[in-house]
Amino acid sequence: MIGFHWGADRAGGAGYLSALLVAIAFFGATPQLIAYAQMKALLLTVDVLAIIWAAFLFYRVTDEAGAIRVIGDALPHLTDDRCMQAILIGWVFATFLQGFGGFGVPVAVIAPILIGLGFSPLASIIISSIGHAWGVTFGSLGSSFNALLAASNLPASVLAPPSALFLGVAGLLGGMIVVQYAGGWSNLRRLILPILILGVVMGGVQYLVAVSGPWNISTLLAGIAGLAVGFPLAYRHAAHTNDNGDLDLRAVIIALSAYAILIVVTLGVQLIQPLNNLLSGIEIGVQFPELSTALGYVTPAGPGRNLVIFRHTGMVLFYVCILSYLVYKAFGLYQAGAAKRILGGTMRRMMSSSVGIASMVSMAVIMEHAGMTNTLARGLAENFGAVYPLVAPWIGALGAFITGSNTNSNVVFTGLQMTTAGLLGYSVPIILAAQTAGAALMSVVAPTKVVVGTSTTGMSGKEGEIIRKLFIYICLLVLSISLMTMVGVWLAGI
Amino acid sequence: MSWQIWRSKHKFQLQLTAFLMMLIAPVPLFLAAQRGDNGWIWFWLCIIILANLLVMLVK
Repeated sequence: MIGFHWGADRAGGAGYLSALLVAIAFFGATPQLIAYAQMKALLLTVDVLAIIWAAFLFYRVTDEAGAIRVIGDALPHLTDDRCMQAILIGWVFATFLQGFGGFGVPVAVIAPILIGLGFSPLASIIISSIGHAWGVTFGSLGSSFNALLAASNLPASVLAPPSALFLGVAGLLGGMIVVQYAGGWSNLRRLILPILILGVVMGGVQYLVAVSGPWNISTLLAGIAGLAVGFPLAYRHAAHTNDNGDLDLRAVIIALSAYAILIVVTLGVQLIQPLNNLLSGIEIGVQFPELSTALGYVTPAGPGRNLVIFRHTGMVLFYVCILSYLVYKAFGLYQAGAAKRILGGTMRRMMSSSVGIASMVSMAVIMEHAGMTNTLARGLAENFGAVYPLVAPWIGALGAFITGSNTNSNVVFTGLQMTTAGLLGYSVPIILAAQTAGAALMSVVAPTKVVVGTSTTGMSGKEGEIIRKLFIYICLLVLSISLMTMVGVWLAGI
Repeated sequence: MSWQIWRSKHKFQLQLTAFLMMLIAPVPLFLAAQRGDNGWIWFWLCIIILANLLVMLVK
Protein backbone atom coordinates (compact mmCIF):
# COMPACT_ATOMS: atom_id res chain seq x y z
CA MET A 1 0.00 0.00 0.00
CA ILE A 2 2.78 2.35 0.91
CA GLY A 3 5.40 1.23 -1.62
CA PHE A 4 3.29 0.38 -4.67
CA HIS A 5 0.33 2.67 -3.94
CA TRP A 6 -2.14 -0.20 -4.11
CA GLY A 7 -5.54 0.30 -2.54
CA ALA A 8 -6.54 -1.68 0.51
CA ASP A 9 -8.53 -4.14 -1.60
CA ARG A 10 -5.62 -5.31 -3.77
CA ALA A 11 -3.03 -5.03 -0.99
CA GLY A 12 -5.29 -7.03 1.30
CA GLY A 13 -5.46 -9.83 -1.24
CA ALA A 14 -1.67 -9.82 -1.63
CA GLY A 15 -1.19 -9.74 2.13
CA TYR A 16 -3.54 -12.66 2.64
CA LEU A 17 -1.85 -14.82 0.02
CA SER A 18 1.61 -13.98 1.41
CA ALA A 19 0.55 -14.80 4.97
CA LEU A 20 -1.02 -18.07 3.85
CA LEU A 21 2.11 -19.11 1.98
CA VAL A 22 4.45 -18.24 4.87
CA ALA A 23 2.16 -19.87 7.44
CA ILE A 24 2.10 -23.17 5.54
CA ALA A 25 5.70 -23.17 4.30
CA PHE A 26 7.57 -21.88 7.36
CA PHE A 27 5.29 -22.04 10.41
CA GLY A 28 3.79 -25.50 9.99
CA ALA A 29 0.16 -24.39 9.57
CA THR A 30 -1.97 -27.40 8.68
CA PRO A 31 -5.02 -27.38 6.37
CA GLN A 32 -7.31 -27.96 9.38
CA LEU A 33 -5.78 -25.01 11.23
CA ILE A 34 -6.22 -22.77 8.20
CA ALA A 35 -9.82 -23.95 7.81
CA TYR A 36 -10.75 -23.16 11.42
CA ALA A 37 -8.86 -19.86 11.26
CA GLN A 38 -10.87 -18.88 8.18
CA MET A 39 -14.14 -19.49 10.04
CA LYS A 40 -12.92 -17.38 12.97
CA ALA A 41 -11.95 -14.71 10.46
CA LEU A 42 -15.42 -14.85 8.90
CA LEU A 43 -17.08 -14.15 12.26
CA LEU A 44 -14.69 -11.28 12.89
CA THR A 45 -15.20 -9.93 9.37
CA VAL A 46 -18.97 -9.92 9.73
CA ASP A 47 -18.58 -8.26 13.14
CA VAL A 48 -16.41 -5.51 11.69
CA LEU A 49 -18.22 -4.99 8.37
CA ALA A 50 -21.65 -4.74 9.98
CA ILE A 51 -20.45 -1.63 11.79
CA ILE A 52 -18.75 -0.14 8.76
CA TRP A 53 -21.69 -0.69 6.44
CA ALA A 54 -24.10 0.73 8.99
CA ALA A 55 -21.85 3.72 9.69
CA PHE A 56 -21.57 4.52 6.01
CA LEU A 57 -25.29 4.04 5.58
CA PHE A 58 -25.78 6.54 8.41
CA TYR A 59 -23.51 8.96 6.61
CA ARG A 60 -25.50 8.53 3.36
CA VAL A 61 -28.82 9.00 5.17
CA THR A 62 -27.64 12.28 6.71
CA ASP A 63 -25.78 13.47 3.63
CA GLU A 64 -28.71 12.82 1.25
CA ALA A 65 -30.88 14.93 3.59
CA GLY A 66 -28.32 17.74 3.48
CA ALA A 67 -27.77 17.50 7.23
CA ILE A 68 -23.99 17.51 7.05
CA ARG A 69 -24.04 20.63 4.87
CA VAL A 70 -26.43 22.38 7.29
CA ILE A 71 -24.21 21.54 10.28
CA GLY A 72 -21.16 22.66 8.33
CA ASP A 73 -22.84 25.95 7.40
CA ALA A 74 -23.95 26.50 11.01
CA LEU A 75 -20.60 26.07 12.72
CA PRO A 76 -19.14 29.39 11.54
CA HIS A 77 -21.91 31.01 13.60
CA LEU A 78 -20.35 29.38 16.66
CA THR A 79 -16.85 30.03 15.48
CA ASP A 80 -15.32 30.63 12.09
CA ASP A 81 -11.86 30.02 13.52
CA ARG A 82 -10.81 26.97 11.49
CA CYS A 83 -8.52 25.66 14.19
CA MET A 84 -11.27 25.90 16.80
CA GLN A 85 -13.50 24.05 14.36
CA ALA A 86 -10.83 21.33 14.10
CA ILE A 87 -10.65 21.20 17.90
CA LEU A 88 -14.40 21.08 18.46
CA ILE A 89 -15.31 18.68 15.68
CA GLY A 90 -12.13 16.70 15.01
CA TRP A 91 -11.06 16.24 18.61
CA VAL A 92 -13.88 16.84 21.09
CA PHE A 93 -16.89 15.64 19.06
CA ALA A 94 -14.82 12.73 17.69
CA THR A 95 -14.02 11.72 21.28
CA PHE A 96 -17.71 11.88 22.14
CA LEU A 97 -18.62 9.63 19.21
CA GLN A 98 -15.84 7.16 20.08
CA GLY A 99 -17.30 7.00 23.57
CA PHE A 100 -20.18 4.88 22.40
CA GLY A 101 -19.30 4.14 18.79
CA GLY A 102 -16.58 1.88 17.53
CA PHE A 103 -14.42 0.67 14.71
CA GLY A 104 -13.85 3.85 12.82
CA VAL A 105 -17.37 5.24 13.27
CA PRO A 106 -15.97 8.62 14.48
CA VAL A 107 -13.91 9.00 11.30
CA ALA A 108 -16.77 7.84 9.09
CA VAL A 109 -19.10 10.44 10.65
CA ILE A 110 -16.69 13.31 11.44
CA ALA A 111 -14.59 13.40 8.27
CA PRO A 112 -17.56 14.36 6.00
CA ILE A 113 -18.50 17.14 8.45
CA LEU A 114 -14.97 18.54 8.28
CA ILE A 115 -15.07 18.36 4.48
CA GLY A 116 -18.31 20.33 4.63
CA LEU A 117 -16.42 22.98 6.60
CA GLY A 118 -13.82 23.29 3.88
CA PHE A 119 -11.10 20.97 5.11
CA SER A 120 -9.51 18.76 2.47
CA PRO A 121 -10.50 15.05 2.52
CA LEU A 122 -6.95 14.14 3.57
CA ALA A 123 -6.90 16.66 6.43
CA SER A 124 -10.37 15.54 7.53
CA ILE A 125 -9.27 11.94 7.90
CA ILE A 126 -5.97 12.84 9.60
CA ILE A 127 -7.62 15.22 12.09
CA SER A 128 -10.52 12.94 13.03
CA SER A 129 -8.25 9.88 13.29
CA ILE A 130 -5.77 11.57 15.62
CA GLY A 131 -8.57 13.33 17.50
CA HIS A 132 -10.36 10.19 18.60
CA ALA A 133 -7.40 7.78 18.97
CA TRP A 134 -6.90 8.42 22.67
CA GLY A 135 -10.53 7.40 23.37
CA VAL A 136 -10.39 3.95 21.76
CA THR A 137 -9.52 1.87 24.85
CA PHE A 138 -12.32 3.15 27.09
CA GLY A 139 -14.53 4.01 24.11
CA SER A 140 -17.11 1.78 22.48
CA LEU A 141 -18.49 1.53 25.98
CA GLY A 142 -15.23 0.03 27.21
CA SER A 143 -14.95 -2.97 24.90
CA SER A 144 -11.16 -2.84 24.47
CA PHE A 145 -10.49 -2.28 28.16
CA ASN A 146 -12.87 -5.16 28.89
CA ALA A 147 -10.70 -7.37 26.67
CA LEU A 148 -7.63 -6.32 28.67
CA LEU A 149 -9.39 -7.25 31.92
CA ALA A 150 -10.53 -10.60 30.53
CA ALA A 151 -7.14 -11.56 29.09
CA SER A 152 -5.18 -10.52 32.19
CA ASN A 153 -7.67 -11.58 34.86
CA LEU A 154 -6.66 -8.46 36.80
CA PRO A 155 -9.23 -6.09 38.36
CA ALA A 156 -10.18 -2.76 36.82
CA SER A 157 -9.06 -0.99 40.00
CA VAL A 158 -5.49 -2.06 39.19
CA LEU A 159 -5.47 -1.51 35.42
CA ALA A 160 -7.68 1.58 35.01
CA PRO A 161 -5.45 4.20 36.71
CA PRO A 162 -2.29 3.77 34.60
CA SER A 163 -4.29 3.14 31.41
CA ALA A 164 -6.42 6.26 31.85
CA LEU A 165 -3.39 8.35 32.79
CA PHE A 166 -1.36 7.32 29.75
CA LEU A 167 -4.30 7.84 27.41
CA GLY A 168 -5.22 11.18 28.98
CA VAL A 169 -1.74 12.54 28.29
CA ALA A 170 -1.87 11.11 24.77
CA GLY A 171 -5.24 12.82 24.31
CA LEU A 172 -3.80 16.21 25.20
CA LEU A 173 -0.86 15.69 22.84
CA GLY A 174 -3.32 14.51 20.18
CA GLY A 175 -5.27 17.75 20.53
CA MET A 176 -2.07 19.71 19.98
CA ILE A 177 -1.28 17.66 16.88
CA VAL A 178 -4.80 18.27 15.55
CA VAL A 179 -4.32 22.04 15.77
CA GLN A 180 -0.76 21.95 14.44
CA TYR A 181 -1.93 19.93 11.43
CA ALA A 182 -4.94 22.15 10.84
CA GLY A 183 -3.22 25.50 11.24
CA GLY A 184 0.51 25.23 11.84
CA TRP A 185 2.72 26.14 14.79
CA SER A 186 1.51 29.74 15.08
CA ASN A 187 -2.08 28.60 15.65
CA LEU A 188 -0.93 25.97 18.11
CA ARG A 189 0.75 28.74 20.13
CA ARG A 190 -2.34 30.94 19.78
CA LEU A 191 -4.76 28.25 20.99
CA ILE A 192 -2.57 26.56 23.58
CA LEU A 193 -4.80 27.68 26.46
CA PRO A 194 -8.10 26.22 25.10
CA ILE A 195 -6.22 23.05 24.14
CA LEU A 196 -4.83 22.69 27.65
CA ILE A 197 -8.23 23.39 29.20
CA LEU A 198 -10.01 20.84 26.99
CA GLY A 199 -7.23 18.28 27.36
CA VAL A 200 -7.24 18.50 31.13
CA VAL A 201 -11.05 18.43 31.31
CA MET A 202 -11.50 15.46 28.98
CA GLY A 203 -8.48 13.53 30.28
CA GLY A 204 -9.41 14.31 33.85
CA VAL A 205 -13.03 13.22 33.47
CA GLN A 206 -12.01 9.99 31.75
CA TYR A 207 -9.48 9.28 34.50
CA LEU A 208 -11.82 10.07 37.40
CA VAL A 209 -14.71 8.07 35.96
CA ALA A 210 -12.51 5.10 35.01
CA VAL A 211 -10.84 4.79 38.41
CA SER A 212 -14.06 5.26 40.35
CA GLY A 213 -15.91 2.38 38.74
CA PRO A 214 -17.95 2.92 35.53
CA TRP A 215 -14.96 2.72 33.17
CA ASN A 216 -17.25 1.68 30.29
CA ILE A 217 -18.68 5.22 29.98
CA SER A 218 -15.53 7.16 30.89
CA THR A 219 -14.69 8.25 27.33
CA LEU A 220 -18.34 9.06 26.62
CA LEU A 221 -18.53 11.33 29.66
CA ALA A 222 -15.15 12.82 28.76
CA GLY A 223 -16.55 13.75 25.35
CA ILE A 224 -19.69 15.28 26.89
CA ALA A 225 -17.54 17.30 29.30
CA GLY A 226 -15.40 18.41 26.38
CA LEU A 227 -18.46 19.62 24.45
CA ALA A 228 -19.82 21.46 27.48
CA VAL A 229 -16.53 23.32 27.93
CA GLY A 230 -15.76 23.57 24.22
CA PHE A 231 -18.82 25.54 23.12
CA PRO A 232 -18.11 28.63 25.31
CA LEU A 233 -14.43 28.43 24.32
CA ALA A 234 -15.48 28.40 20.67
CA TYR A 235 -17.63 31.53 21.12
CA ARG A 236 -14.68 33.25 22.74
CA HIS A 237 -12.55 32.52 19.67
CA ALA A 238 -15.11 33.50 17.05
CA ALA A 239 -14.20 36.29 14.64
CA HIS A 240 -15.98 39.56 15.38
CA THR A 241 -15.89 41.18 11.98
CA ASN A 242 -17.84 39.31 9.36
CA ASP A 243 -21.60 38.93 9.37
CA ASN A 244 -22.25 35.31 8.53
CA GLY A 245 -25.96 35.90 8.07
CA ASP A 246 -28.85 34.65 10.17
CA LEU A 247 -28.57 31.18 11.60
CA ASP A 248 -31.51 28.92 10.66
CA LEU A 249 -31.81 27.30 14.05
CA ARG A 250 -34.76 25.12 13.03
CA ALA A 251 -32.76 23.63 10.15
CA VAL A 252 -29.83 22.97 12.45
CA ILE A 253 -32.00 21.23 15.05
CA ILE A 254 -33.58 19.05 12.37
CA ALA A 255 -30.14 18.28 10.93
CA LEU A 256 -28.84 17.32 14.37
CA SER A 257 -31.80 15.05 15.01
CA ALA A 258 -30.06 12.03 13.48
CA TYR A 259 -27.14 12.47 15.86
CA ALA A 260 -29.50 12.84 18.79
CA ILE A 261 -31.21 9.62 17.69
CA LEU A 262 -27.77 7.99 17.49
CA ILE A 263 -27.00 8.96 21.10
CA VAL A 264 -30.41 8.03 22.50
CA VAL A 265 -30.72 4.68 20.73
CA THR A 266 -27.11 3.60 21.40
CA LEU A 267 -27.25 4.52 25.08
CA GLY A 268 -30.74 3.11 25.40
CA VAL A 269 -29.73 -0.29 24.06
CA GLN A 270 -26.65 -0.41 26.29
CA LEU A 271 -28.11 0.94 29.50
CA ILE A 272 -31.82 -0.03 29.51
CA GLN A 273 -31.58 -3.63 30.66
CA PRO A 274 -35.04 -4.87 29.48
CA LEU A 275 -34.35 -3.50 25.99
CA ASN A 276 -30.87 -4.99 26.07
CA ASN A 277 -32.32 -8.37 27.04
CA LEU A 278 -35.00 -8.19 24.34
CA LEU A 279 -32.40 -7.59 21.63
CA SER A 280 -30.02 -10.25 22.95
CA GLY A 281 -32.30 -13.16 22.07
CA ILE A 282 -30.52 -14.41 18.95
CA GLU A 283 -26.81 -15.10 19.12
CA ILE A 284 -24.43 -16.80 16.70
CA GLY A 285 -21.58 -18.58 18.45
CA VAL A 286 -19.15 -21.21 17.21
CA GLN A 287 -16.89 -23.40 19.34
CA PHE A 288 -13.41 -24.15 18.05
CA PRO A 289 -11.12 -27.00 19.09
CA GLU A 290 -7.53 -26.57 20.21
CA LEU A 291 -5.41 -25.80 17.17
CA SER A 292 -1.73 -26.47 16.77
CA THR A 293 0.82 -26.05 14.05
CA ALA A 294 3.29 -28.76 13.01
CA LEU A 295 5.93 -26.74 14.90
CA GLY A 296 3.97 -26.90 18.15
CA TYR A 297 2.37 -23.45 18.42
CA VAL A 298 -0.95 -23.95 20.18
CA THR A 299 -4.13 -21.88 20.15
CA PRO A 300 -6.40 -23.04 23.00
CA ALA A 301 -9.93 -24.26 22.34
CA GLY A 302 -12.67 -21.73 22.80
CA PRO A 303 -15.46 -19.75 21.21
CA GLY A 304 -15.02 -17.52 18.21
CA ARG A 305 -16.46 -14.03 17.99
CA ASN A 306 -20.00 -14.15 19.33
CA LEU A 307 -22.51 -12.21 17.26
CA VAL A 308 -25.57 -11.03 19.14
CA ILE A 309 -27.51 -10.25 15.99
CA PHE A 310 -30.12 -7.68 17.07
CA ARG A 311 -27.95 -6.02 19.71
CA HIS A 312 -24.84 -5.78 17.56
CA THR A 313 -23.39 -2.27 17.23
CA GLY A 314 -23.88 -2.43 13.47
CA MET A 315 -27.51 -3.46 13.85
CA VAL A 316 -28.10 -0.68 16.39
CA LEU A 317 -26.63 1.79 13.90
CA PHE A 318 -28.99 0.32 11.30
CA TYR A 319 -31.97 1.05 13.60
CA VAL A 320 -30.61 4.61 13.90
CA CYS A 321 -30.44 4.84 10.10
CA ILE A 322 -34.07 3.78 9.72
CA LEU A 323 -35.31 6.19 12.40
CA SER A 324 -33.18 9.04 11.05
CA TYR A 325 -34.43 8.39 7.50
CA LEU A 326 -38.05 8.48 8.71
CA VAL A 327 -37.48 11.74 10.62
CA TYR A 328 -35.76 13.45 7.70
CA LYS A 329 -38.44 12.15 5.33
CA ALA A 330 -41.18 13.49 7.62
CA PHE A 331 -39.54 16.93 7.38
CA GLY A 332 -39.44 16.67 3.58
CA LEU A 333 -35.66 16.74 3.28
CA TYR A 334 -35.38 14.02 0.64
CA GLN A 335 -35.85 14.29 -3.11
CA ALA A 336 -37.56 11.51 -5.09
CA GLY A 337 -35.56 8.29 -5.30
CA ALA A 338 -33.49 9.05 -2.21
CA ALA A 339 -33.81 5.56 -0.71
CA LYS A 340 -32.53 3.92 -3.88
CA ARG A 341 -29.60 6.34 -4.09
CA ILE A 342 -28.75 5.81 -0.42
CA LEU A 343 -28.78 2.01 -0.63
CA GLY A 344 -27.20 1.75 -4.07
CA GLY A 345 -24.56 4.32 -3.23
CA THR A 346 -23.71 2.52 -0.01
CA MET A 347 -23.24 -0.83 -1.76
CA ARG A 348 -21.08 0.60 -4.53
CA ARG A 349 -18.90 2.67 -2.24
CA MET A 350 -18.44 -0.05 0.38
CA MET A 351 -17.58 -2.97 -1.87
CA SER A 352 -13.91 -2.08 -2.39
CA SER A 353 -13.40 -1.53 1.33
CA SER A 354 -15.24 -4.72 2.20
CA VAL A 355 -13.06 -7.03 0.13
CA GLY A 356 -9.97 -5.36 1.58
CA ILE A 357 -11.17 -5.87 5.12
CA ALA A 358 -12.20 -9.48 4.50
CA SER A 359 -8.70 -10.26 3.17
CA MET A 360 -6.87 -8.41 5.91
CA VAL A 361 -8.86 -9.93 8.74
CA SER A 362 -8.21 -13.41 7.29
CA MET A 363 -4.53 -12.54 7.02
CA ALA A 364 -4.41 -11.36 10.63
CA VAL A 365 -6.19 -14.41 12.02
CA ILE A 366 -3.97 -16.83 10.07
CA MET A 367 -0.89 -14.99 11.33
CA GLU A 368 -2.17 -15.26 14.89
CA HIS A 369 -2.95 -18.97 14.69
CA ALA A 370 0.28 -19.86 12.90
CA GLY A 371 2.26 -18.11 15.62
CA MET A 372 3.62 -15.49 13.22
CA THR A 373 2.36 -12.51 15.20
CA ASN A 374 3.63 -13.99 18.44
CA THR A 375 7.04 -14.62 16.84
CA LEU A 376 7.25 -10.99 15.73
CA ALA A 377 6.42 -9.74 19.22
CA ARG A 378 8.73 -12.18 21.01
CA GLY A 379 11.58 -11.12 18.78
CA LEU A 380 11.03 -7.54 19.84
CA ALA A 381 10.78 -8.37 23.53
CA GLU A 382 13.74 -10.74 23.68
CA ASN A 383 16.02 -8.34 21.85
CA PHE A 384 15.11 -5.31 23.95
CA GLY A 385 15.13 -6.83 27.49
CA ALA A 386 16.53 -3.90 29.47
CA VAL A 387 14.50 -1.34 27.58
CA TYR A 388 11.38 -3.49 27.36
CA PRO A 389 9.19 -0.73 28.88
CA LEU A 390 10.03 1.38 25.83
CA VAL A 391 9.07 -1.56 23.57
CA ALA A 392 5.84 -2.64 25.30
CA PRO A 393 3.52 -0.06 23.72
CA TRP A 394 4.95 -0.88 20.28
CA ILE A 395 3.98 -4.53 20.72
CA GLY A 396 0.40 -3.44 21.38
CA ALA A 397 0.68 -1.08 18.44
CA LEU A 398 1.89 -3.91 16.18
CA GLY A 399 -1.09 -6.06 17.10
CA ALA A 400 -3.53 -3.22 16.50
CA PHE A 401 -1.92 -2.27 13.19
CA ILE A 402 -2.20 -5.83 11.89
CA THR A 403 -5.70 -6.58 13.16
CA GLY A 404 -7.13 -3.04 13.06
CA SER A 405 -8.42 -3.43 16.58
CA ASN A 406 -7.35 -2.36 20.08
CA THR A 407 -9.52 -5.21 21.35
CA ASN A 408 -7.84 -7.87 19.22
CA SER A 409 -4.38 -6.61 20.13
CA ASN A 410 -5.28 -6.81 23.81
CA VAL A 411 -6.61 -10.33 23.38
CA VAL A 412 -3.52 -11.49 21.47
CA PHE A 413 -0.72 -9.79 23.41
CA THR A 414 -1.87 -9.35 27.01
CA GLY A 415 -0.62 -12.79 28.01
CA LEU A 416 2.73 -12.22 26.32
CA GLN A 417 3.13 -8.79 27.91
CA MET A 418 2.24 -10.10 31.38
CA THR A 419 4.67 -13.01 31.12
CA THR A 420 7.52 -10.88 29.82
CA ALA A 421 6.92 -8.17 32.44
CA GLY A 422 6.94 -10.80 35.17
CA LEU A 423 10.18 -12.38 33.92
CA LEU A 424 11.90 -9.02 33.71
CA GLY A 425 10.54 -7.77 37.06
CA TYR A 426 8.54 -4.84 35.72
CA SER A 427 5.16 -3.60 37.00
CA VAL A 428 2.49 -5.62 35.18
CA PRO A 429 -0.29 -2.95 35.37
CA ILE A 430 2.01 -0.34 33.86
CA ILE A 431 3.17 -2.66 31.09
CA LEU A 432 -0.45 -3.59 30.31
CA ALA A 433 -1.41 0.09 30.31
CA ALA A 434 1.34 0.57 27.72
CA GLN A 435 -0.05 -2.36 25.73
CA THR A 436 -3.56 -0.97 25.49
CA ALA A 437 -2.48 2.65 25.01
CA GLY A 438 -0.11 1.74 22.17
CA ALA A 439 -2.79 -0.43 20.60
CA ALA A 440 -5.45 2.29 20.89
CA LEU A 441 -3.29 4.90 19.19
CA MET A 442 -1.94 2.69 16.40
CA SER A 443 -5.36 1.16 15.70
CA VAL A 444 -6.38 4.31 13.82
CA VAL A 445 -3.51 3.77 11.34
CA ALA A 446 -4.45 0.18 10.65
CA PRO A 447 -5.39 -0.34 7.00
CA THR A 448 -8.74 -1.82 8.05
CA LYS A 449 -9.61 1.44 9.85
CA VAL A 450 -8.15 3.81 7.28
CA VAL A 451 -10.42 2.33 4.62
CA VAL A 452 -13.38 3.44 6.74
CA GLY A 453 -12.26 7.05 6.38
CA THR A 454 -11.49 6.74 2.68
CA SER A 455 -14.88 5.16 2.07
CA THR A 456 -16.81 8.18 3.32
CA THR A 457 -14.54 10.88 1.88
CA GLY A 458 -14.08 9.73 -1.69
CA MET A 459 -10.46 8.80 -1.13
CA SER A 460 -10.74 5.09 -1.89
CA GLY A 461 -7.47 3.87 -3.36
CA LYS A 462 -5.39 6.45 -1.45
CA GLU A 463 -5.08 4.53 1.79
CA GLY A 464 -1.28 4.36 1.41
CA GLU A 465 -0.95 8.13 1.28
CA ILE A 466 -3.06 8.51 4.42
CA ILE A 467 -1.17 5.83 6.30
CA ARG A 468 2.17 7.46 5.42
CA LYS A 469 1.03 10.81 6.82
CA LEU A 470 -0.83 9.45 9.85
CA PHE A 471 1.92 7.01 10.81
CA ILE A 472 4.43 9.71 11.75
CA TYR A 473 2.05 11.52 14.10
CA ILE A 474 0.82 8.33 15.73
CA CYS A 475 4.40 7.12 16.21
CA LEU A 476 5.11 10.33 18.11
CA LEU A 477 2.14 9.59 20.38
CA VAL A 478 3.21 5.97 20.91
CA LEU A 479 6.72 7.25 21.68
CA SER A 480 5.19 9.42 24.42
CA ILE A 481 3.62 6.26 25.85
CA SER A 482 7.06 4.60 25.76
CA LEU A 483 8.54 7.45 27.79
CA MET A 484 5.65 7.41 30.28
CA THR A 485 6.02 3.65 30.65
CA MET A 486 9.75 3.97 31.34
CA VAL A 487 9.09 6.61 33.99
CA GLY A 488 6.21 4.55 35.40
CA VAL A 489 8.19 1.34 35.91
CA TRP A 490 11.07 3.33 37.38
CA LEU A 491 8.72 5.01 39.88
CA ALA A 492 7.03 1.66 40.65
CA GLY A 493 10.43 0.15 41.34
CA ILE A 494 11.44 2.81 43.86
CA MET B 1 -13.37 -4.57 -25.78
CA SER B 2 -9.96 -5.10 -24.14
CA TRP B 3 -9.60 -6.97 -20.88
CA GLN B 4 -8.46 -3.82 -19.05
CA ILE B 5 -11.51 -1.87 -20.15
CA TRP B 6 -13.85 -4.79 -19.41
CA ARG B 7 -12.53 -5.31 -15.89
CA SER B 8 -12.62 -1.58 -15.18
CA LYS B 9 -16.21 -1.43 -16.39
CA HIS B 10 -17.22 -4.43 -14.29
CA LYS B 11 -15.14 -3.64 -11.19
CA PHE B 12 -18.14 -3.65 -8.86
CA GLN B 13 -19.46 -6.98 -10.16
CA LEU B 14 -16.01 -8.61 -9.93
CA GLN B 15 -15.43 -7.33 -6.41
CA LEU B 16 -18.92 -8.45 -5.37
CA THR B 17 -18.20 -11.92 -6.75
CA ALA B 18 -14.90 -12.10 -4.85
CA PHE B 19 -16.56 -10.80 -1.69
CA LEU B 20 -19.32 -13.40 -1.83
CA MET B 21 -16.72 -16.13 -2.37
CA MET B 22 -14.84 -14.91 0.72
CA LEU B 23 -18.04 -14.83 2.79
CA ILE B 24 -19.51 -18.15 1.69
CA ALA B 25 -16.49 -20.46 1.35
CA PRO B 26 -15.41 -20.44 5.04
CA VAL B 27 -18.64 -22.16 6.12
CA PRO B 28 -18.25 -25.38 4.07
CA LEU B 29 -14.51 -25.10 4.76
CA PHE B 30 -15.23 -25.20 8.50
CA LEU B 31 -17.61 -28.15 8.09
CA ALA B 32 -14.99 -30.03 6.05
CA ALA B 33 -12.44 -29.38 8.81
CA GLN B 34 -14.85 -30.80 11.39
CA ARG B 35 -15.17 -33.96 9.26
CA GLY B 36 -11.41 -34.10 8.71
CA ASP B 37 -11.96 -34.12 4.94
CA ASN B 38 -8.70 -32.74 3.53
CA GLY B 39 -9.93 -32.94 -0.07
CA TRP B 40 -12.85 -30.57 0.52
CA ILE B 41 -10.69 -28.38 2.79
CA TRP B 42 -8.29 -27.72 -0.08
CA PHE B 43 -11.19 -27.24 -2.53
CA TRP B 44 -12.84 -24.50 -0.47
CA LEU B 45 -9.47 -22.99 0.43
CA CYS B 46 -8.73 -22.72 -3.29
CA ILE B 47 -12.02 -20.83 -3.70
CA ILE B 48 -10.82 -18.29 -1.12
CA ILE B 49 -7.41 -18.09 -2.79
CA LEU B 50 -9.09 -17.49 -6.16
CA ALA B 51 -11.24 -14.77 -4.62
CA ASN B 52 -8.14 -12.96 -3.36
CA LEU B 53 -6.42 -13.35 -6.74
CA LEU B 54 -9.52 -11.92 -8.40
CA VAL B 55 -9.39 -8.90 -6.09
CA MET B 56 -5.74 -8.33 -6.95
CA LEU B 57 -6.55 -8.38 -10.66
CA VAL B 58 -9.30 -5.78 -10.42
CA LYS B 59 -8.20 -2.14 -10.75
